[in-house]
Amino acid sequence: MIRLGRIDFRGCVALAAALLAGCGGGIPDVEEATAQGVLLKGNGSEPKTLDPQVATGVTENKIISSLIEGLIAYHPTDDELPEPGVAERWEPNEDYSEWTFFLREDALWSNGDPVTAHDFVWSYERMLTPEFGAEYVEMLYSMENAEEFHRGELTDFSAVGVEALDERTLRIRLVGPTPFFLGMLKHYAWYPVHPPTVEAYGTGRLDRSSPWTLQGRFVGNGPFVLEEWRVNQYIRVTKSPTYWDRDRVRLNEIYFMAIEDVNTEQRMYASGRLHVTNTVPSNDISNLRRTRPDELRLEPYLGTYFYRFNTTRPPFDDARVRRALAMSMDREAIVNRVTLGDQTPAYAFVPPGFDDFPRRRLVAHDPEAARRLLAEAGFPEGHGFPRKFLLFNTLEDHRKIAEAVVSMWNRELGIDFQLENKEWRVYLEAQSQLDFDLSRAGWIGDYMDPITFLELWTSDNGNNNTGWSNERYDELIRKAFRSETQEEHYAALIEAEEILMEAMPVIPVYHYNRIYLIRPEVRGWNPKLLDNRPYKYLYLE
Amino acid sequence: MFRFIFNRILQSVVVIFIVVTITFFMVRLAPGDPFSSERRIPDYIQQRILEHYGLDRPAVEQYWRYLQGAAPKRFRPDKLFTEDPLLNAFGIDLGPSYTSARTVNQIIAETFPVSFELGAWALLIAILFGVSAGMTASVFRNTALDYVPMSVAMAGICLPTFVMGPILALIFGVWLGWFNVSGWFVPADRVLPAVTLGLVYAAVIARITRGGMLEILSQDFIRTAQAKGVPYGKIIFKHTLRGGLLPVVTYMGPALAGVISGSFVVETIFQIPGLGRQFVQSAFNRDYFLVLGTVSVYAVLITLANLTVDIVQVILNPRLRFED
Repeated sequence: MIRLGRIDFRGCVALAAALLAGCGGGIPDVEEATAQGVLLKGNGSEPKTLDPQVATGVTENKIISSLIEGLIAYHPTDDELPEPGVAERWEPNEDYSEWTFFLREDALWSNGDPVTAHDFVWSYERMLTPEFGAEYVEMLYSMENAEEFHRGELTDFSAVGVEALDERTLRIRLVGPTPFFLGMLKHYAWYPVHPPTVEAYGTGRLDRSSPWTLQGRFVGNGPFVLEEWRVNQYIRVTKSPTYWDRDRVRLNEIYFMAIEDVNTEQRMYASGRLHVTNTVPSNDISNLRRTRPDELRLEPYLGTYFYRFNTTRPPFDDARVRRALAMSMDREAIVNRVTLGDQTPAYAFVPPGFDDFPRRRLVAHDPEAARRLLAEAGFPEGHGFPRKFLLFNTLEDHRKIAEAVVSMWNRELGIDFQLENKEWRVYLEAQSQLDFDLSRAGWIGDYMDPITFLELWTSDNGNNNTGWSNERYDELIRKAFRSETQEEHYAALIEAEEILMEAMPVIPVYHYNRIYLIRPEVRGWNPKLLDNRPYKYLYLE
Repeated sequence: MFRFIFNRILQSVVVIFIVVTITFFMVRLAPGDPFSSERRIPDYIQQRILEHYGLDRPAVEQYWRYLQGAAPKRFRPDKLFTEDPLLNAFGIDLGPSYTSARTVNQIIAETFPVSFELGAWALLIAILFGVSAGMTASVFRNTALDYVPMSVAMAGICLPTFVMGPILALIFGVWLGWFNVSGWFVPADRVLPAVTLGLVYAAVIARITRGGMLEILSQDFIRTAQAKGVPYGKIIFKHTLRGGLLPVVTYMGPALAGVISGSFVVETIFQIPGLGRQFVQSAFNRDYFLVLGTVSVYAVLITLANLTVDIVQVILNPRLRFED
């Protein structure tokens, strides 16, 4: 009787557990998921959209790149190499100003339609139509007449440099020679969308809040298809049966978990609910180095953390003052004692990682020389230096760095800064209206070329926000955009960066690292400078 | 009584209208705009986006259009459980969200039931624990059975949910593995968030119950009952509880409001897809229509809760009358 009772008890528990699990459709834990080939990935906050032509964020990109594939795909190990996507091969003309892409025959949308060159033309027209209001449209300005069409100076789209020669041949004419064009093409602004699906929902083609991206409607051409979208919970994608390279895809499903709070993500990882986290709370890094040394990853990320001057306000209109501040900042100390995540101290603006672009120290840590410069500028030992504000958006990590930097300036130069934090959108507004003295900022590269960091500082760039401009600099960036060879392109950028660091409208502080936890079961996950994951190469073991 | 209720509903409508109006203009006066991002959008693109959402029009015109959309136009209870109940059952259109592919109607329809359920569990826990602890404390006044629950209650009031939540998740989720540390999938997922949210209110209710009970216990009619030899249990449950719980009923209005609108922290800690997160996030995102939509829902809910409390109070306390 006793034995029977025990069995009954277990049976009841199992039954109850099955019932409980059944009614909510719970998510498997890592062990179960690994066995089923299901990747559980922490993906930050809830994505705003899955329309690649409306999306602007990293969060969205990580999901969209599993659902849609562009002409060129992400390479599994090297961000600088092109990997064939929808295009199986391509031919640039002699000066790299015209590119012909040959689309593969077996590229299909998830509803079975073939992916054609016309789909790309249609997508780019949608993106470039002014009424659509695509935020990332400037990525497409490298096509001939694209900017003119988008600004409404030209109304005939056939004049824009994109053309379907036939179903499977796409020709793109650029405004000038662009040897790094293939790198740009990996960006989701260049992804195609499925015209009949987009047309079918909302008010059609130009509806930027169209619900075509919702569960049950989404049609893509990537290695995975959208299976389920539970708001503020997860997005589940499953292996696509129509993807041309489906035999290579080894994961059956991916859960992109929307997790707002990094501490919650940490607890989920600790309790075996995630294979890989989006990030790690900065306070936990030292602890995790001890407790999970094999799972903690600290990998270079193509980005720079910096301070920007408002050069229209004295005394920051004087390059000597700007350089003095930059030279008295001890970046090693910031990285080793404040940020604690093995970030690279930044002595130039362009982050390391480009094979042929030299890494240089364009600003030294030299407090002695900094004091001399400041004295030359009229503030010996900081005397007479006005009290200025250092602006940052409200976040504990930014405050710590700002406090360290301000105390360095106080010690080395004898000048005082007041910290000023603002809520994110208020902070953005202050920056864009030049309503600040000195402000914290960051920039992540859009594609693998140093120009995505250096083009920011031209006179007419909307992201400049320093009031600084330099004719020679503008000319060099223009030249870099039109160079026929990589050498010429880099030569212009190298000189431009020297000018930038001489004038110092921005102080580079450190280059970002991606800091996250990953379980040993996840294979094929390589360090990537842009954090682009070609999901089809991932597997679990 | 019906006159009373009718008048109160009329008042509520006015209150909600005022709340919507103030919110509409306040949110537009807040610095920062909904479409700013770290990568700055050129002005002419921004202009197109504003046009798409009608934000380029004068504020008064936007306000008028919003009111037209948001005003209830019909009542079809049979359509309450369709995909967009606000639109189908009431004819309410709360506009688009700037940060989602879903409309404000859809967002509220998806998230409100979750927050409501969370709030209901939390209140249930608060009442069960609070009332029993408060009763015990008042009956065994100035003994260990009074001091211990009241000290725990004091600690409960002092410990904010953002401290309590992670502690519970760590102990019962990570270490013991009894519950999931986050999520809203299986019924067991309700336990930790509901306890976290309910404990604070349980503590307050315990203190209020104790106070209310003690006040009644010291009154003459209780002494009379004791003198007549009425059993002690009957005195407590029949004669004391009814009056002693009146302050708790009064507190239920604010508690309900607090549980529902204050669920933001708990929803974030436990990754629950509720309305509280939408409410706070929409303010950070300057997602104007979503701010308005969530504020309106809360306004309706809180006025309804207060109305209910008023009615229940009169029913429980014969000394009160329905008066305007």
